Amino acid sequence: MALTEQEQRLARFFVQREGAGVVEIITTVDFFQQGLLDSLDMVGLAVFIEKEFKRKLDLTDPVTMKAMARFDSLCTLAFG
Amino acid sequence: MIAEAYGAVGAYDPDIIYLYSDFRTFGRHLEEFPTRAAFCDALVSPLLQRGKTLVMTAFTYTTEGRFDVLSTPTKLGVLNKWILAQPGVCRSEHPLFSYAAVGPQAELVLNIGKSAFGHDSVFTRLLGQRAAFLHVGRPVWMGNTALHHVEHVGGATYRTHKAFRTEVYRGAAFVASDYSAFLRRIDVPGEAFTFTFREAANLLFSRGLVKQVGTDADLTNVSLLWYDDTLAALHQMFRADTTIFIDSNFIQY
Repeated sequence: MALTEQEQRLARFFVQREGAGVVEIITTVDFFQQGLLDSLDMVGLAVFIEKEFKRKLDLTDPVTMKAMARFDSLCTLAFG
Repeated sequence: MIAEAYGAVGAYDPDIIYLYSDFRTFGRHLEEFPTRAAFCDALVSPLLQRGKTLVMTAFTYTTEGRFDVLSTPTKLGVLNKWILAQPGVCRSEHPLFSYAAVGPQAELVLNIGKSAFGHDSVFTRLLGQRAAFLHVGRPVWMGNTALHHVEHVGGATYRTHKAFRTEVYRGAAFVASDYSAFLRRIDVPGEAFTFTFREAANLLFSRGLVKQVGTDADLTNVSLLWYDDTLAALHQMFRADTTIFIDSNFIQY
């Protein structure tokens, strides 16, 4: 599935860490279950989204945490 | 500052610390350290310098194929990965639910029993050892793996014993297979048996078993619970209400 321009901007966070191959699985995996995100990564991702999309995430909110597990809901958080 | 928080909750009193962490808030300090490892070192060094043994989950959920105690990476978080890279780390052999330990009593996790939560598991070995749970940035209500030990021993009817053919190795040396775990049943229509620790956590607080500084709401808590007292309380809670750890009233008669 082709990513939109905004999705590609968000995917860059994962590509920088995991390599270009991560794009192949990014829309299908649970980031926490796959070990792609831990709590320090979440802080880094929140900073990335704040810089890239001017959205501030509340990491103490369980709803935010749940949404960060998957790419589609993460896109909604970042620019939806 | 974290060293003072540890002191305030009594984290220097136990000999063994079973550590839970969540760095969604404390992780804001990461930029003050040159590396992730340095950040982790700063968090645990006050404990290790005082001769404490640290025990952490290193779960991999390896339900098939091969699990290598020395090399299979954990699927868990920051400190869980950090501890596996420490010199002298000991890791238990369970292919789904392994534990890692460093410090003077680290070997207590070695040659572990085949049942993840039952006889000769980490949970039985920690009893009577002056152990305590320490939560750093992870609210107590978010859960505690020891509840599965309580469910196992107490006979929860919403869980079932399952063995796994996963072959366990320590490097080139074969260790064993057929390790087991007490897992959520998936054969009951309409039931997911999602765990909840809210009510149990409230009871632990109300009974004065949690010493805490910081707050749950902003994930700044540092919380200490003595192991033996906590398990005794959890066993009592389960006896009083066998569904206290699930979001359901299910009992299999």
